[in-house]
Amino acid sequence: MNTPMSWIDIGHIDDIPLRGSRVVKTRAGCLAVFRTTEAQVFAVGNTCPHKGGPLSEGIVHGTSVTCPLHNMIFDLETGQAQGMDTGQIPTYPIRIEAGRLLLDAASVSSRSAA
Amino acid sequence: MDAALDLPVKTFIEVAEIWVPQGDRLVLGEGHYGTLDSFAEASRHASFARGEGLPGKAWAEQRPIVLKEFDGSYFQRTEAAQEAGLTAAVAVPIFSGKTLKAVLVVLCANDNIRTGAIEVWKENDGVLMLDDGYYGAAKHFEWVSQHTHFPRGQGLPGGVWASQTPMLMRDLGSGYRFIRADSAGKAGLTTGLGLPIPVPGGATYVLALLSALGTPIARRFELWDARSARVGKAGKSAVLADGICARDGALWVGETEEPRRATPWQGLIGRVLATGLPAVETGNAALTQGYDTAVALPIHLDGEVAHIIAWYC
Ligand code: FES
Repeated sequence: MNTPMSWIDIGHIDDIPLRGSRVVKTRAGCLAVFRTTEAQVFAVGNTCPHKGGPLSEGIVHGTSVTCPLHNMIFDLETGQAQGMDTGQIPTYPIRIEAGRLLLDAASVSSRSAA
Repeated sequence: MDAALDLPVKTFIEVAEIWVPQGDRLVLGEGHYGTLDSFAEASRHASFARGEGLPGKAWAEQRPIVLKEFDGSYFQRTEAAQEAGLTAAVAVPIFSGKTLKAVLVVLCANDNIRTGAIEVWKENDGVLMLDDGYYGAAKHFEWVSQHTHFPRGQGLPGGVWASQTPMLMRDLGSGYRFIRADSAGKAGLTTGLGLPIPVPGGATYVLALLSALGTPIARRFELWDARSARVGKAGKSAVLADGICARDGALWVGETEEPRRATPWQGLIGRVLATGLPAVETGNAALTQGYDTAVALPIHLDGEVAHIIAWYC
């Protein structure tokens, strides 16, 4: 399975404020794209597995996000919930090229992907 | 060999008791007193008319009450409480419409070494302000709380107010939804439970219990939803909507799984569901999920038991 990845341009990194986020609608559902540092971004599912809280409205600290509803914390690199709770959000490959944010097309092409 | 083996956890709440109306007085329904036998004895012989003592005052004034100084107050069991080392008490009336079902009283000890918080928030001019609270050793957090107010929907109290449902908040020190996170983290507070306290006359009260790891209010919290809109009109029951446990981890399930369900008289939650009364259970591991004690509290809305919250320690 070594098909070359194709990437979708979803905008410029400066469209996202530091420790802020943008929601991207895809066929895999709504993604939240977080900018954790000047040159680091993560794309994850926007919906908290607990009660569906919008993670894009959560607070970013380090490479984690805290859900705005009941404070569950997710590691943006792995998608794993931290602390006593269990749960995971999907993560999606994303990279930065010349300031453009490129999202892996295959991973967001259908609901069952990733 | 002077190493202490498996020190029992010091809990934030020492005593939990339930006062129920009988005729025109409140009498002791059930209680957990731990080793405080003489305070238990004094309580068994007590009863309160409306307006009398702490339980009677919560009944008469139709509001949750925090009492931080027994001496010279209306508290009637002062001597026994002082002997037992108890230093503060919180009384929470449970109303169904205009009818008082019961008054829950919890008592705490050693304010200087135990951390936690029991807070009463009251709506005033469109925001929730701290009516009163007991914080033990969490003095800075107490100060912050006194100087914070919550618009509808904001923070734990504001979220409970807006949704009219109990709410569990995790990792208090890390969040931004929990507005007092910074100070909460420093005080070691980890988990918060907020619940609406309906009273006759339409005043808005939210009770918040904030638990710390070292001296927990609870090591397991459960939130049960019993609204007929949620569980169906046919046959009363309650489903476990949310929860967290130091031993079992997350107690909630994803959207595709069936949540745990309790029917009337089934276990502790079933008993609360059937009677509409709060319950205190102790010394029965099956009913207390393996912990020493359990307290379960109904929230009556629109003439039905709408929610049941339980904490185990
Ligand atoms: S919905 Fe995210 S923590 Fe509850």
